[in-house]
Amino acid sequence: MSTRIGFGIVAAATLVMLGGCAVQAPSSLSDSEARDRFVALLDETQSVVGGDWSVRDDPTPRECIVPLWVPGERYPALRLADAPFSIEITADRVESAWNAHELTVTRTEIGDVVELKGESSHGELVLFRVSDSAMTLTGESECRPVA
Amino acid sequence: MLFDATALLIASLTVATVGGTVAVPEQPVTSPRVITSLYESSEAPARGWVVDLPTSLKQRSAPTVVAPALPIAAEQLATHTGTSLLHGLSALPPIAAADFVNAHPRAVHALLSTPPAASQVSSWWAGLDATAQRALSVAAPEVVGNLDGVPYAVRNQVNRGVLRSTIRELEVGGDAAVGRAVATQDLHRLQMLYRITDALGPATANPQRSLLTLDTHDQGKATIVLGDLETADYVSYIIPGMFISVAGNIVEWADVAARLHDEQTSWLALLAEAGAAPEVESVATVAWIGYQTPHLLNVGSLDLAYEGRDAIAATIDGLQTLRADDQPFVSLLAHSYGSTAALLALEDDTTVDALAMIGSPGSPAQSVADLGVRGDVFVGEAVWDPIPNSSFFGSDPGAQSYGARAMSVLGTVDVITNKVLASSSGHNEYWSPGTESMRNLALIGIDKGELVTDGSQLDAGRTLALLH
Repeated sequence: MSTRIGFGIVAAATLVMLGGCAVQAPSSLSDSEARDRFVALLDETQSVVGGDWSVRDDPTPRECIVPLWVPGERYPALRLADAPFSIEITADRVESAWNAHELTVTRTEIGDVVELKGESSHGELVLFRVSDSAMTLTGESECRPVA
Repeated sequence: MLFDATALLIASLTVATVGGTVAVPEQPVTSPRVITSLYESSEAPARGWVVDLPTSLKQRSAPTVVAPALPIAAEQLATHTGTSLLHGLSALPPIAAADFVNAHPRAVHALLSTPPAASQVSSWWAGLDATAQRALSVAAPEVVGNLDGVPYAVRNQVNRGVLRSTIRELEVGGDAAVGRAVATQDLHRLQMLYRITDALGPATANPQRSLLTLDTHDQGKATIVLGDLETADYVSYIIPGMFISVAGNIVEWADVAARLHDEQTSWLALLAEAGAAPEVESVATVAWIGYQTPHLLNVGSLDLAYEGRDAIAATIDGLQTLRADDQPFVSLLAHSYGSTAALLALEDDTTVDALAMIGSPGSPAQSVADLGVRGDVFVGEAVWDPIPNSSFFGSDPGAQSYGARAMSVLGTVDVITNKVLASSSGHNEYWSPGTESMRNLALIGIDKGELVTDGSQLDAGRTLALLH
């Protein structure tokens, strides 16, 4: 009896360890595909909004943690543009585009600035801010385990 | 005192990343040689790489200093210090200068440990013609690359050259005659340099990353700048505390600087878009590991804090000298033992615009009035962090009598962006992304102290309206 209990504990512990330590990325894509998807989302957002954008994406990854405590990295984005012709129409277009990608979109007003935050189920984050002064598009790709 | 020591011990055990120290013996000192016989040698580079030095507007406008007309013998030069040593070194032919540096590592170490004022270095450097600058950069890169007062673009280029050439030497090295201990040390040194390379990122990194300090010996030193120190409107130095080493933490430290840069840039863009700032201003953040941080066995002593004090003072002096009449807003964001080093510097002649201390064990200064801070001093204290209230080194910066402003790190919802900000707990979560701590540190670095939360009811009113 005690042997069986002991074996059960070991087996359970093994399962927990295997499950806990398995390094799984949020999505099933490869690292480069995941990054390409993120960049494509940003590019599409730019295209929907229009205007001349200054792309200042940093190719240097940022550290992050993939559950459970697995070191990962993600890529940031920073893009700037002049003000659009209409704040509301522009924000609506971006919100529709992001909804089409099944992002969870939150809309906030910060003073005269309209901010949209989009979050994907894979942990990607995009932030769009628009005012009568300028537009910014920032974000971070999904956190992937360090290869 | 026993409690304090216990608190430090407990805090140290919560440290997530422990940088191992690698004891590498100082370079063997060869017999001093008289190098006058080399004077007639050509100006061929002493090393296998070429330096095409960038120029600086300020450098061109700096006053000219006349170098000694006659070279000094190496043995005699080794007795010189400060600017006298610099002038003597630059008067030597390149090969002789390279030989001197190789033969007298202690003199070089002493020069870099107690460097001349940045204004003197700047004048000395500006007094050299382009050929002499290039020759010295090749002959004595450890000197040129680490001296505050030399233009930043020059230091970055020279240090990157040293990094590449040292890695190459260690990779190719493989001297069968060396013992296992030396081989192990070389391997650790090589790994440290690989980590610096990783922290620098690709050449296309945006913002640009510069290597402004590089000491490849012992525990090493490295400073990586994100942004342009020559033009940035705001410059934030992040100062590390116990256990932070180049080999173990430079990538993580550069990552903290990158996130701080991201956060500050985002805030400045938002403020500009919201009409609270006239235009988008620029920032530079500095991942600074410019002194040997303590470990458990020597953290109770101020010795390394004094080393940090001197290095911080030289760094700020260098920035303020090179920026001349275009001074940026300068802040020190200092953690743990690093805050003690920063406080010691600010108790002396060093001045900055803002200081933020997180997890600070204090210093001899008893109030903000004793510090060279033109603006506000902020203190952040996380729950379960035993260090802040320890007064381990003489004062508790979080005490009301100290006169610093509280900086909340407990977590909240940002009243401006509605973003949920995470709490920091223990001694090592102040720099974590998405925390109230990082948000407040970013704002302190861009002179927006009025938006920094303190955990009181007043936080509800810290909106953009304060900036209009």
